[in-house]
Amino acid sequence: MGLTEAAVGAGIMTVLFLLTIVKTEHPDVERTFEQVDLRAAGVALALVVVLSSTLFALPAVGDANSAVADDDVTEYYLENAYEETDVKNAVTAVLAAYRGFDTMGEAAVVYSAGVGLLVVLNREVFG
Amino acid sequence: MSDSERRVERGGPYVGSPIIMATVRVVMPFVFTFGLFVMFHGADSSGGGFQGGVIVGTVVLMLGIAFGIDTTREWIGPRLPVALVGTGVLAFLFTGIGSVLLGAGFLEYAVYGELGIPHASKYGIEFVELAIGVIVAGIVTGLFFAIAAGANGGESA
Repeated sequence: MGLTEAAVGAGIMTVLFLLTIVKTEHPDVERTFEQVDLRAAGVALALVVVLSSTLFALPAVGDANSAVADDDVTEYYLENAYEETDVKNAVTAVLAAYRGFDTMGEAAVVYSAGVGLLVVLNREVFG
Repeated sequence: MSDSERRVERGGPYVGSPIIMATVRVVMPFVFTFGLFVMFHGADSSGGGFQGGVIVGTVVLMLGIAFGIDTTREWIGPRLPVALVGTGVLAFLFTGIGSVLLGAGFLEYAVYGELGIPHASKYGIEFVELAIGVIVAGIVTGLFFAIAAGANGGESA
């Protein structure tokens, strides 16, 4: 997992930001700040509040009794992953076999990100 | 103004550097192989489709930085990333639907063993990881080209 974060965070995002900066023009007008859209700001704030309400359900940092450490599901995966899925990497077993549907959703999210960018840029093919 | 106009032109401020070109030419095959390794060995070691796909996508970014984005885009072609992403999503989807058609649950790979595939579960997982890798590599490449081309740069492909 950390491999993706490193490659995306350090490599790809830097390149994409540099490209965006190159594409950005300096405006010649006096007023460089746009008016804040109050409705959009309200929606964003509401989303933050709704998502923050789940913070209280999280276990404390380093809690030895958290569900991640001693849950039945975790135990089941670790004990049965090798025989049931035939792969040695338990993370891959959970990701692709036990929660394959979830991973397919993730792949669809990546796909939608590309389609969304094409829609925003009003193009039909990449490049 | 003319200077900033020139900077905003397609391709950006590309300056060919022999050092970067030589470095990328040497490093690129190894990075590409490493990406494929991470993708193919996701089932038995750390790694997987998302990680390998990102690394393979990085190869295209390196080529773009070293040899110019427009040159790289013309070399790869506008349709390859779209084709890769579509193929990946469909492959993942049909793997799931196929197991349902064979009478098991969605994405229950073990049922492919009935077709004579040894270690069906393992190779099913590998296949899905490859599909994910293809999707991610295509999207990373596509995002790079799309952002480099900009919103109104539809005049040259």
